[in-house]
Amino acid sequence: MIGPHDVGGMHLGSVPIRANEPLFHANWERGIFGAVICAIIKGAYNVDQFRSGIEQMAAAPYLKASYYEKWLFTLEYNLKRAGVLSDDAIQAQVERLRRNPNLAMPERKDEALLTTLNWLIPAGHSSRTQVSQPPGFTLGAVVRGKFVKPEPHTRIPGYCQGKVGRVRLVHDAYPLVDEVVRHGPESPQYIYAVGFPARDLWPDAEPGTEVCVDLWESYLEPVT
Amino acid sequence: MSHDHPDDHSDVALRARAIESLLIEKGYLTTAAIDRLVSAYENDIGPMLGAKVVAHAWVDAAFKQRLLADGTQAMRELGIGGFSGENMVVVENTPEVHNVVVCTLCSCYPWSVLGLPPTWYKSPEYRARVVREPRAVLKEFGVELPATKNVRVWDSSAEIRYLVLPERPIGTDKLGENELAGLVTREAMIGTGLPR
Repeated sequence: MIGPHDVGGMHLGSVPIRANEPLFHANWERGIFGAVICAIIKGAYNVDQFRSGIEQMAAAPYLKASYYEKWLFTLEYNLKRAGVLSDDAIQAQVERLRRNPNLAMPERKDEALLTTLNWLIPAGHSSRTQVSQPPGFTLGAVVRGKFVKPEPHTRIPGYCQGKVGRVRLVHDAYPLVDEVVRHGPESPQYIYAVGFPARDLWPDAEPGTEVCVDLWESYLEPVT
Repeated sequence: MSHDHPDDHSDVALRARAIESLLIEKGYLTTAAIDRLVSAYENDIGPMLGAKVVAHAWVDAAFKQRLLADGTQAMRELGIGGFSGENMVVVENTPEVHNVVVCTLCSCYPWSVLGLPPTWYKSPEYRARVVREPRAVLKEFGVELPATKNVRVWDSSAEIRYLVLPERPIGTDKLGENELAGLVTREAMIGTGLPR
């Protein structure tokens, strides 16, 4: 397990399925949704640091927190790390709002931000990178998931570390997020969908199940 | 919209408002930007886009081929793209294989074709269990797969986002593309459901 967020394979209760639920459950969730995306666009942190921030939550609060509570946690964590906000400034503003709950949001216009959103919302932004070398593994190659240091961030789930699987898809190359969160060298690597028989991961898994997980090349070693 | 009328006074709402207002003061955010983003996902971007892709693939074999070869590019033909849809792979259900999508490490989800994910998709319960006992999880959604079918679960833990192309229901030969799209539920495109 690489942290409390690495839940794949845990025995937990029934899935909380709800019909016709609203997209946002409270107005503050709308504000945080917008704030998280705009702060990324403005360069306060990147999307991998956003994910990594959620992983800094302790296990018990992590499992209890709602989705946007996790967003609020990592937004605050990253803004403090980037020096945009301090604990004192946040606390002072909370007290100001507590005394005056109807305090209006500050007025600000930012046409450039709206223009950016107008093209970014339909276009997105891919970190896909052209590399000159061919993929190190080919379709069908037999590979093993390596043990990878989880700090500060990695994307190989614990359940496939040390397990043997087969390359099912060869994707393009993308910067290794383990390095991106550190502002490291950001070396792009190919990503592979590696299929593991679920029974090899958990002896009691349902038969006839294969788990295909997307893994960067350096998470894998050849099995000969 | 109602940014100036807080709808609850819980600690989390207060803290969220505090950070939101500080970010506006510091020039990282405006209420108009929040409205623009929220409106895009509340009104324009949702499962109806994925349903359009699926229905088009059902009626146009050449498009289906392009979609399975390069999901991102084929969706662009229909004017569909955006955040968390930059690198799309479409996986096809067949009589032999049923596909299901999850992100065990967080909640990665193809926003550009399905919109923002539902609570169940983001829950630890779904993320934990669907890789180990997908049939048991599907049963909670009212779906019972034939025993002869294999299940492939895609854990989209990196930069690629997945969309399931469900099998076209039998007896729908006479339906047009729009009617077909009406059969395609969000769950059918994640793999926890089947077309209606």
